[in-house]
Amino acid sequence: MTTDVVLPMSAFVVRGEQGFEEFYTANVRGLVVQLYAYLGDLDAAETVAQEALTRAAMRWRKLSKRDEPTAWVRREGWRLAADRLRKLPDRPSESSLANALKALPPRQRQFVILHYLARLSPAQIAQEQDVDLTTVQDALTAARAAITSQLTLNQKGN
Amino acid sequence: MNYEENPISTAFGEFEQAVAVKVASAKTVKVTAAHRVRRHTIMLSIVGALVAAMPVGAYAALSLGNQGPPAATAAPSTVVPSAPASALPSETPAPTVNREPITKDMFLRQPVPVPSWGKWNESCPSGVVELSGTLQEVVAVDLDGDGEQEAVVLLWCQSNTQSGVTRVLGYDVDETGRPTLLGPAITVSDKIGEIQYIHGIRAGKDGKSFIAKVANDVTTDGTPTIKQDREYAWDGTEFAQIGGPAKF
Repeated sequence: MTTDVVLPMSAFVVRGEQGFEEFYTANVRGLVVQLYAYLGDLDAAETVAQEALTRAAMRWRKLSKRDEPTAWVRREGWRLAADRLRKLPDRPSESSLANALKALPPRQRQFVILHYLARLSPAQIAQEQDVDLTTVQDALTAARAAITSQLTLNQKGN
Repeated sequence: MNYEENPISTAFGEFEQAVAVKVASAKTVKVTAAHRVRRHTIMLSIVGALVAAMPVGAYAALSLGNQGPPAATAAPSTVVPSAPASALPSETPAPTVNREPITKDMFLRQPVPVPSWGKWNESCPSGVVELSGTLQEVVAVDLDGDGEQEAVVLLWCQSNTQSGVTRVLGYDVDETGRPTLLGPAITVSDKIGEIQYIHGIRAGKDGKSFIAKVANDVTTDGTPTIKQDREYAWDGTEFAQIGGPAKF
């Protein structure tokens, strides 16, 4: 049986990779910050963001042709983060905002992070997450009230 | 509402500024990605070689006398380039590595992203889900004209509120054979005169579009009143009808 499959690394370069390094540099920090806000754990956020961007590199030739590769990476990051969240121990974060976010239901937390950190409008969030605009607006309203209340409590506590 | 005046914006701004991120360089990520693609392709090649060897092995095991062994039916699907094995990823165009062909199994062996079926069909599976109960047909089409095939998929679901809901979705497939959603191609409606059921899909003549057999209504005995062939293509952003009747 012939399994002549010893291929050089150059055969597996993600073709059309021009632009990936620029894309990575432009997006990695923002993605980590968003995922840190969601997970409340910086190490986990860095791991998840890097995994999402590695997956983007694996298919960059096709992904780079799309209008919005950032949206693809963000969706991949959120998907991985949701999985990671279930496995993370419930520890308080060093950040009071991260702790306030942690108290929100995951969906509200995701929408509020996409709005304030990814700087997406409610309509863009609705489109990207495939939900009604009113669902996003209602979630943002509830999340803002909860965060404000939590941050105010923290300030009084200090 | 002006969110910028909201103190929450300030809190998020301060949070963003304070995070010190430590991640690998873009080059390291590219090398990791290249290693993974390499590993996956080697696995596919070994499977291909095993498939190729199976008829010969079966012949030998069964000792079928002086008959010649059956011809091999498949071959490893890789092209071996001549660059040294230690070469690192470069900007030089690399030889083609054949990806795994589009198959129904590709969509059955792993969870696949499926967007919401709409508020009347919330019982139908969406998110990243197994398609074993919903997958009807998979057609390989070069939707973006890059010489590699993407997938068009017909799904069916027994909804709580409707008898049976169908939809067609488009998928890209990455180098490891994992489908990622391009977008919805055909979504049915419950309105008279609109597409209410999709009976089947097939590739278009040029291999860059697909043709769906659609119907405007389903009678109580399940017989569609009018069936039509409508052709659809991916325009880079979304699917659009490019052929066949526009209305019933």
